[in-house]
Amino acid sequence: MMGQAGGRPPEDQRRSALRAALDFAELPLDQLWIRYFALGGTGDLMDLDAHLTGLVLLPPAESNLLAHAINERLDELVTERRVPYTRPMPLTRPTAGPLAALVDLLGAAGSSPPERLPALTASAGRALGVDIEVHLIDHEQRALLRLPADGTSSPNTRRWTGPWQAGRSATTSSSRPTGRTAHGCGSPSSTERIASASSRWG
Amino acid sequence: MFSTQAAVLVANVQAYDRAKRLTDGMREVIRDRDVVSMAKGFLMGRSNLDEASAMTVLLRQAGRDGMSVAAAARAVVESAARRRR
Repeated sequence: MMGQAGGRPPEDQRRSALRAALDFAELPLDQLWIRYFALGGTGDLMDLDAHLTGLVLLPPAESNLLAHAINERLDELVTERRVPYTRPMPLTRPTAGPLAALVDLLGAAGSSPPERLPALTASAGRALGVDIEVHLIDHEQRALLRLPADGTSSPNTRRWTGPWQAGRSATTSSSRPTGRTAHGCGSPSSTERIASASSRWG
Repeated sequence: MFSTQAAVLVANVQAYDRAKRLTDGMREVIRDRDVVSMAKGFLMGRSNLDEASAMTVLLRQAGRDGMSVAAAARAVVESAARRRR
């Protein structure tokens, strides 16, 4: 039951960390059980007690849930006690390079209408230093339609919004200068489609 | 005689109040558990995972976005619902 791969903390160490965290958070066992139950845990209060004392250990997946239940409580305690800054600190995000292009593309694509996709991929391509073409498969899955780079003005536009809304589409992006090609079969969420297209990028 | 009846009434109100608080708390807990189960099921179906791996994905998403597992699960379920539209 407790077969451990190398690199993970040994079971004893993990359990004593769990007990220490429980003391620190001043979380009674029944409250811990409620949190663990809310996460989908299947052990009862006795199982938790036995696990904490080391008598009968929970299976690894359950033990992870228990660890997460107490970690969420620790996070709450820390968040409550954080000292506010005089002005909000900007989150550090990459500003250049391939990672920035991907971050911008994925961030923007999730909340954008399909018409914006050509412009988004074009700007991501500029940051990557490549030209990106997006092709969509038609509803019957017979033809690849190239998404026009300028967005909405092409007669093709009407043809590709149909399959998009019907939820059966896929993209193929090819980047000319480097000769690398990324393929992806997509689902209706644009974020996921881009993610699947870009996951084999490099 | 009257004071006894009043005491019973007060005791009943207190018991009812306790039960209501307990019910409200448990309702929230069970709702969270439901959402987590739904999200697990969705991830299992979408990415061909077993239950433990789906839960790992949820835990990782929660950790990455700095939100609770219930909130991460809610996001997954909402994205699934949007996708069906």
